Amino acid sequence: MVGRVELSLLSSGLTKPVTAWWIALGFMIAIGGCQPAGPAKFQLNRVEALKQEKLNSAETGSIAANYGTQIETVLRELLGTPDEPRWPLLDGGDASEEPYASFVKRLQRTAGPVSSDLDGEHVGMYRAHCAHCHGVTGDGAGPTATALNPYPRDFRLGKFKFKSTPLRKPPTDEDLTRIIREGIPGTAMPSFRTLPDDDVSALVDYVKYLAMRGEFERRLWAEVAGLEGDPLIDIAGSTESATDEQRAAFKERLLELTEDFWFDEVAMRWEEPAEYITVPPPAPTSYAVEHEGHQALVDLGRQVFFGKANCLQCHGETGLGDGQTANYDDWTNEWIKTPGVDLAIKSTYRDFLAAGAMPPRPVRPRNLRHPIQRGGSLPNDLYRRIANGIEGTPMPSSPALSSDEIWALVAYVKQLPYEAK
Amino acid sequence: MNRFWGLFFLAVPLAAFGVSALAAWGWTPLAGFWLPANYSREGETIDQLFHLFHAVAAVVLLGTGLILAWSIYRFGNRDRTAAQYWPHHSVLEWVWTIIPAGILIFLALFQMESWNRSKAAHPEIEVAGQRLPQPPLVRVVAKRFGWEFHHAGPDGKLQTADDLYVENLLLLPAAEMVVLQLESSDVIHSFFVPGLRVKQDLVPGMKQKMWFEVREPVELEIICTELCGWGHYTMQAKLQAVTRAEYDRWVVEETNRRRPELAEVEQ
Repeated sequence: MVGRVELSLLSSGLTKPVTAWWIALGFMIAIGGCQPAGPAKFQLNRVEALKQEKLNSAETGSIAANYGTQIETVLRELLGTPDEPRWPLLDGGDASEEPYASFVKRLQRTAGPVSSDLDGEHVGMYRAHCAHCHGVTGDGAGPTATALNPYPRDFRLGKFKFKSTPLRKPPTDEDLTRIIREGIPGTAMPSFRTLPDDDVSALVDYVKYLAMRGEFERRLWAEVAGLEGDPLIDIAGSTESATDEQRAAFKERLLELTEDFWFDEVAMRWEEPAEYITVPPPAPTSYAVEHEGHQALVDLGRQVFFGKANCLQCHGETGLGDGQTANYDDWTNEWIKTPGVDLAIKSTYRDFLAAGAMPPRPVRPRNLRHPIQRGGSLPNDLYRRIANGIEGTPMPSSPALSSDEIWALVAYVKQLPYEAK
Repeated sequence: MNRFWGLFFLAVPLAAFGVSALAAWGWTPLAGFWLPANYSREGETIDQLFHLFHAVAAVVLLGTGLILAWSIYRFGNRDRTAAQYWPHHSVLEWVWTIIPAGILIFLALFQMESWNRSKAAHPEIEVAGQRLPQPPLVRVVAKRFGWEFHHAGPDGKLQTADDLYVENLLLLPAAEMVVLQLESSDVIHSFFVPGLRVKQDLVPGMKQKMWFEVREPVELEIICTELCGWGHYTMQAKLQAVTRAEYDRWVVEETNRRRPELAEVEQ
């Protein structure tokens, strides 16, 4: 029953050189990590540069190559870097004065690498929560962006879809706060309800910073397209070895650009959007489901849907969003409308894709049979979206509809998901 | 050298036993390393079972570890003679089959009542003298990457026009049994509330039910515990348990918020 068997020692894996190399590699990764080296950088809007170049075909050479460094310098001098953002100050303003000082401090807390201190105050919230989709530059081209449909918002156009203000007006702080807190159902934008209020409002400011920075940069690209080789700014003036004369000229030009474009155009547009909020008038009493006239209101809504408002053209006869489906949103139209680009032939726009443009995708009209809408499902939200349209999309505003007709449409759309078949 | 390896292997069960013993009870510096404070009624039983299982596992780990360490220490290949090998030993095999089997059967039977209460016996309510299964209060839909909570509106029914949809916030009445209906809209997720000791995988195409009672008004964390993609770590939501009166008030308020202001009635 009891036998004796010789057991040879297993040959030790460590003596094999290959195993030793694997272990050494493991240690190197564990110690060194696989983080990309160097500080974070704002990327230039190369799509815009390429577009301007094609629009101004008389221009010799590449606009991006000629002006890239100059525009980068202007942006850095004026608005800082992803690790240390700045905010332009009116000439003669005091940087230590409130509320400017605490505003810039908040921007700087939101930017930069991620960490938290012992009291649990978060630093670098933008990179913690937003940058992997929206990108460090706010260009909607973070590492996960191409995997998402719809694409993450590119802030640089300064356009936001879901807001309480009319077309071409920026969103209010409340609008942006609501998107961050509640998310956008049906998209990859999640709700950040678990974040402290303070972090959310800091993120709102930072998103506005990126949007305004993007608008300012686009304005600069449009400007240099018309300069025909003249420098936008003498970058020698920003270096250590510059003469006093060069330095003074640099400062003066920078001040000029700041006043002309930042203060007079970008900041002006973003001033007090709350003044333009669309306040829906009270709904007719028959809007209440219990009201005896409710069915008549819904019927009126159906008439408007199929008639005057022509909603079916895009949303389809059944409201499933299967009508017109070949339109693009403004973020795509930005460059696909450039002369020479033909979406049917990839070689005509390969250079745009290489410059960082997202592969174009048509924008889908909303399926109205789904009870939860992206930009909020409250009746007031729907009223505003019908009345004002949706910025950046083919959804138009409806100045021709009376408020009662819009309320009838809201009532009709609200009951669509539950409509008897 | 055998003495070194014997002592080395002795350190493993001792350290594991020490750490888990320290972490299991509230008065030690490692308290809270396991699960946060419990707020569910069934959770008390689950915690007791957890400690029992833990204690059994610790004794087994310590026992087998000690035998291993002692064997290495005592019988190591000290003078390079060959080891002895028993291909079969009936008594020994009976012993090490019967004892673990007995322990496992005991644990299986011992936790059966709790498993039944939390997973099998669907709560019932009495309607007109009939006992019916309690309808779910909230429809939970997991998606990449967030939680949709569709609270039943004033009609108390799910998937009707008055449902109250909120993302990443689950509001529940405390001190009463609640039933949730769990669904997934894309991949497998897992709904986990550590403070309530409840966890349920959500499988696309299936409607799971879950029930529990939050003992008192409290704010708890909901997390996803099934790796569901790159944003898995962002799937956090808030569970807010409030009194029944507050819950009813919230339902009314939210319902009103979803109605527009109406024009004055003309006389």
